[in-house]
Amino acid sequence: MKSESHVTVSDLVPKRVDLSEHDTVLEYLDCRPMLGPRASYFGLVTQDTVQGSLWLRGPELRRSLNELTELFVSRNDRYATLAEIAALWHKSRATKSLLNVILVARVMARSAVINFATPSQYGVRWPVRCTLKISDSTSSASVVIWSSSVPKYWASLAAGDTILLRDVKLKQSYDDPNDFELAVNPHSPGGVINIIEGPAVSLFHLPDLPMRLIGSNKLRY
Amino acid sequence: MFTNHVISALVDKTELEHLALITYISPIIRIRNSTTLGFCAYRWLKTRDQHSDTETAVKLFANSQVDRLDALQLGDIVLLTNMHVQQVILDAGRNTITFLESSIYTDICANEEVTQLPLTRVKQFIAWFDDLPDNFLDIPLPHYNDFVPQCPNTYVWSVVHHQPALRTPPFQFADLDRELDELHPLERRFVIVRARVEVHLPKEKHTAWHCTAQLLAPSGPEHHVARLQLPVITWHDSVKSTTEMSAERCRQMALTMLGVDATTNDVIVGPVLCGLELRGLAEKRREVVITHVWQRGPLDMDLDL
Repeated sequence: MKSESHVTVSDLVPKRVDLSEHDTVLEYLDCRPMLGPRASYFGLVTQDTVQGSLWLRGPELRRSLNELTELFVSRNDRYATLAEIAALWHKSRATKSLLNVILVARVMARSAVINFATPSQYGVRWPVRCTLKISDSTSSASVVIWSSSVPKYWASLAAGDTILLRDVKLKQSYDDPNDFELAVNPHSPGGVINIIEGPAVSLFHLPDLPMRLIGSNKLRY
Repeated sequence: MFTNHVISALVDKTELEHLALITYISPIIRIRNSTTLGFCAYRWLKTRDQHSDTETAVKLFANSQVDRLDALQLGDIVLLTNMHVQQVILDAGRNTITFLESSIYTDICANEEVTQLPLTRVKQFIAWFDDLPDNFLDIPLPHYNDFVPQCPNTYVWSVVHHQPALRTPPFQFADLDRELDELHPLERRFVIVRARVEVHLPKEKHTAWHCTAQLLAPSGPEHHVARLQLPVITWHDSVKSTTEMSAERCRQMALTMLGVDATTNDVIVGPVLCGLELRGLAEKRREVVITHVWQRGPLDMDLDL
């Protein structure tokens, strides 16, 4: 275990799925899509959902708030709320890379992995995306995780987690042109997600995960 | 008891959670997705909870959690998040079916993941579950369906994957009529019957991946119109179910499936064991699809062959 003073930004980025080792390839033999050293094989006609050990467990993303704060203070990162980001979007409606901006929010829902493979994306190794619905004390937003970032983060995140986002891109929402979304890309800029753990999470006054349980009596005439 | 108005209010995009005990679980069904040209997998559940004595129908898609969907079993406690209430109108508006359907954000949590949640309503559910009598589910002994070999990943024999959780009691040919009458319009049931199969092999080029057939009683005049589902390759990109194939290829596949060799276009085999998928369709139409044919059953002692 590294001491806090030795943590660098690169340590926060989960390592990419490395298939150069023979053992690692064997570990992921049961996966869909099939994985190779240089490509993953998504069928263009049979867009089956992802499956296998790669999607069952992800890299460790949990960090204590102290560890993260110390790092970001030293980098002069700025903390922003979702309401501030929404105001920024409605002011200019321009795509912006939010470099050195960190967000803390709660994951309210996590979507399935969506395969957008088409012949035009033939060269894309991971033609996949997934969406997180996040909320903080001020507002809500959607976060779309793109391509090779998906296998890094999808399996590790769950509804209810408190996450810290950094270096995301602010852009127009694909679903609703009047709204915005935050994109976590593998590069330009490379977005990073970490899960904050510990009692210090309560400092952010994040909304609780809503539980709207429906009983069988409400589905009966 | 709730009125139609309350149900209608629920049938929208409101996302709800459902905490219940699984009392029925269907095989995994793979269907073509008309919008993406791909396949998607789902299964039907029936669930019970402490709020009423009626079962709730749930249509649960895999949602990148195929392993969890596979692992669900009869008697599991599940918490399904972000579900939607759906209604299907039947018989020109005279009847409706209400069920829960999963969304793209649905998370499948089962057993320990659920019982460890520190929520009052979960604790209330666990208390109800603990008070249930031992024979509440009345799970039958493992049936020979359990010994059907699993299809390899790259092929499926039909749209149905046979899961160990599927437990269909032994079935008589005479009961087929009653079973078809009871079919829900959206329901698919898998049964195994002993019957003779008459297949009409195509003489010309064939575009469908099935042959017309008749299911005949082992001894007697009763019969049902059916179709013989040929093995469909689903993984390879170049083969689709709409691909035209030659009559000869269709003949070879059908004869291989029936386990016989013949030169005529009308082939009768049997009595054999037939794996049937009974499909309920709209307007009270029913369909019988022969998905498996066994010359001998995996457990001969049960089959009286």
